[in-house]
Amino acid sequence: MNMLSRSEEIVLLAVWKLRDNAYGVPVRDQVSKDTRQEWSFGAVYKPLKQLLHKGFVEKTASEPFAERGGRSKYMYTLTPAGRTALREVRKIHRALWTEECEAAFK
Amino acid sequence: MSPAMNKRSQQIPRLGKALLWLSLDDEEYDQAVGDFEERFRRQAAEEGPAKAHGGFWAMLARSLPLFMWDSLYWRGMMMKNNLKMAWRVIQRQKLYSFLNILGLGVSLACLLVILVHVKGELSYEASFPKSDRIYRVRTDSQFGSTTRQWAASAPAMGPEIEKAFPEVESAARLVAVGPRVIRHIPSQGPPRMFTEDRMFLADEAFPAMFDLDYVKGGPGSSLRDPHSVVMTESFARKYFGGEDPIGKTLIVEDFKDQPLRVAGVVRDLHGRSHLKIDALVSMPTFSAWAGFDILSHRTLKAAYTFVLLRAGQRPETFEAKAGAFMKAYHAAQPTRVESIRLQPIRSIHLHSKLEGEAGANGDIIYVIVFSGAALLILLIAVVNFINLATAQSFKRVKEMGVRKVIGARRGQLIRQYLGEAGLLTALSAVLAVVLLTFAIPFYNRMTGQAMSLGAFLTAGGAAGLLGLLILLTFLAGLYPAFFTTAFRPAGMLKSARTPGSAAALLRKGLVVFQFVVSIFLVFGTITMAGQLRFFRRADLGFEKRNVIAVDLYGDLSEKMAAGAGALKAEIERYSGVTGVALTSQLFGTRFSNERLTPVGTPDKNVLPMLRFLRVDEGFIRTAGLTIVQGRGFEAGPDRKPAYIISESTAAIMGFEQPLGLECLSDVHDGQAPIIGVIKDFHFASLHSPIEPLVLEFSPGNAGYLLVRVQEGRVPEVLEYLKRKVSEVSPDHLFSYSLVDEVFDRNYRSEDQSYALFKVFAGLALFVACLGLFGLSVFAAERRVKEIGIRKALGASAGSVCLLLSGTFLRGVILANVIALPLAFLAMRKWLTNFAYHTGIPAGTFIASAALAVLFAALTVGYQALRSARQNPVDSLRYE
Repeated sequence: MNMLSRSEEIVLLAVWKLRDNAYGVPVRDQVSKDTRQEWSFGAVYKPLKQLLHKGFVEKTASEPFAERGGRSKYMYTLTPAGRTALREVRKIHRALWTEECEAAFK
Repeated sequence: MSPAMNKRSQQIPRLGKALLWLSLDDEEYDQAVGDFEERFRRQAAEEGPAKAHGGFWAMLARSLPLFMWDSLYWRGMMMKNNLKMAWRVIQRQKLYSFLNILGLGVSLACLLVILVHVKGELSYEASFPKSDRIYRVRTDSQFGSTTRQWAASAPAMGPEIEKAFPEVESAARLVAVGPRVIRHIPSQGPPRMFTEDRMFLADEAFPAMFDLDYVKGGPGSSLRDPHSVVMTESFARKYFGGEDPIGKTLIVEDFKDQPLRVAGVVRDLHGRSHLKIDALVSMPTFSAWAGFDILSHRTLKAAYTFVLLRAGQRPETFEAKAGAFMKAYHAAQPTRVESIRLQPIRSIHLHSKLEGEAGANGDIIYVIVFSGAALLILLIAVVNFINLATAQSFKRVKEMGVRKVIGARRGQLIRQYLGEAGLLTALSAVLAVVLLTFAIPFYNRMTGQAMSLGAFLTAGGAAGLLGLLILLTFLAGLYPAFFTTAFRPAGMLKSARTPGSAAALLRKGLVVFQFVVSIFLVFGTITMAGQLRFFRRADLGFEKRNVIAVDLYGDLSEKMAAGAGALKAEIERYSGVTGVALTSQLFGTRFSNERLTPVGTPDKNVLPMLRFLRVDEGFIRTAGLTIVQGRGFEAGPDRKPAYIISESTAAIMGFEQPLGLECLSDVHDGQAPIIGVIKDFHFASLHSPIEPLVLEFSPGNAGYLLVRVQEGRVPEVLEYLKRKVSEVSPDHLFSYSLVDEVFDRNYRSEDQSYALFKVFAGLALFVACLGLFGLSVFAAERRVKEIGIRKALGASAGSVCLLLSGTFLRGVILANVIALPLAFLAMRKWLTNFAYHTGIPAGTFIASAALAVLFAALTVGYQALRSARQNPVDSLRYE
């Protein structure tokens, strides 16, 4: 099966959180906020492209925006497969982090 | 805020944009520029343009490596995809792939063999570290109207050059010992005895100049004293087995009282060199053997003189002073006209064909011709590739159309095509390697070399091969790729016709080219075969077949001379033997160069050089020569010295009445009369014109016993001779040769070239026919309906056949028209290499043209006949 990599998981969660506003700039801001690290655009595009290839997100171009120099926003939305993948990851996390682990690494 | 300032805070820097454009595809570029610019504006508005610029560049610097890595990753994925598609295409089009792989594989194998061959030919002397500073001194002598160009020089020359030229670091002489029987008598066990012909006398300076690698003994003194010998490890092993050879002795037949003492052992010389050295004997031994101070002889061309120029010195500086040096050298003989030049040692193998070479050299012409032919054959295969691809592109026009409609860009389609070409090339390389394993033994047998598959397994070889494959891929794939992808989708989907008549024209032109090359090679091969036949069968003026030559040396030559030829007479009485004679040298080798001086000639330096042969009374009859004036040498107890000259000697010397003229030779002081004149005959190879010859009656100088035998009885007489020799001289190593074999050895280089050329011509024709076959199959497929309709309307099978094969055969005939005159001119030029040669008969033209047309007709005709005989119902139903 196509397991999510760490960066894919982080980006995919950010896309879900942003709902209708998930394009490059906010996605980068979101993951930077979530991970408390400064992400570059390159670091965001790479997992996004993989996610697209694996079919976990869809990409659509919006109307052009003036603030982008007349360019479209490329919007990402979660697909049902993407939701399943996130659910899988969550399950794996649960299984990995037993109560004992939780207590030890508090 | 000024408008300019405003603009500056609105748009990301142009350089940054360009960098993004370079590393991203269209849509991703659009997205990235949008994102970067949005962030940039926000930052500019909040924190000012300076901060925004800083932030932009920092972000870009962190992103770019990721973009590049990413694009490489996705390219790789695409490549895999392309290869997968290419593999499917290859599987689907079995005939097309088969023809391409076979043609390319065969010609690649051929090219690889030739490349290694050429590399070997060019690597002579390269294993000597100082080879770029070592030169051989060559001498040109003028004698009356004759010139001699020697590879060798006089023994006195080397030391004097070393003294006279400050440019020369050292000079070393090398003298070939010639075949000799060498014997080692161990303290126990039987003596070990072999014939050695790779021994040289060498100066002390030689081992250092050629960087011989001593295993035992030192380079310093090992060749200083007379009668010391330095040998290679394998030579030492042959005589001494595992024992330490230093200080042990070897006995040279003919000089039994002067044993050689082993003073050093060097590593075997593995690199290619015109000098094949097994053992070196110290130079002072030369004078001891000769019985006089031969090392200060000023004219005898006995030694190869090698000079090592100081670093940075040019041979031209040496040669500029050589004239003055030679004047001083020949001060005692001012009328002697001689000059010296330097030959770079590395050019000897391919460029030198002088008098007295150390062995048969190669020829640069054949290196060039072979490389050219191999490249042309590869080109024929590449042409096949292009032709087959464009000819059946109509099959793929729809595929390309569909791909374009669903959004494939042209670059992608081109890449796909190149992927196919690359895969086919790689597969043909695999085939080539398989073929090599068969070709290498064949090549080795033909050339006497020891090539192995290992020669190709070097890092450089692998890189070169890879480069060649990539080049081939582009050469073969680029035109079809651009050609097939150039059409507009609408047109492509609609039509089933072959796009572009330009391609059809090109295809015809390329087929003509292929056959021009093939016919050229076939013509060349037929001409070469004719010349070789001529070499073997030409009337030489003597009969070379059925003559055994027994080597005379040591005991045997003494016994042969003793008892007034009793042994000779006994052999002559044996049944099956029709003549016996003694001679100093064998036909087909270069005879001694000397002058014949009529008594009373004031200055013999103006006399021409003649060839001398020393024979006995049986020679003229045994060789089958014709006496035109006077008489032959006579047997009998009162045998007196005498000369018999050839007609051309009489002519060049200007003798009107030669009989009875008293003459002197260069080596014998006593004068003797000319008693006869013989007809000229070819005693040397047919490469060069007949030279003037003098036969001197001197059985004491015999090197060989010639025994003429009746047809078919050679083996039996050989057995008898062997028995007789071991009776007379039990210790003797019997060795012999057959005169016709010795003579025909002169044509070895032509024999080898012919054998290779034959293969080339065959391969060229074969590969060209492969392509033609493919083209005819595709043409027939495309015209299946047309043929059906023609047949339904009453066309005969013959007329359909003609229709299908006509185009191709016209091309082959055109190729004949172009190739035959070119080949004729080239081969006529080649034939002028030989003083005696055949012409180019009309038959050669007819045969090469007929061969090409026949093969083409068979190739095309097979397919044509098949389509012509098809039931029109089947072909018309075919949809």
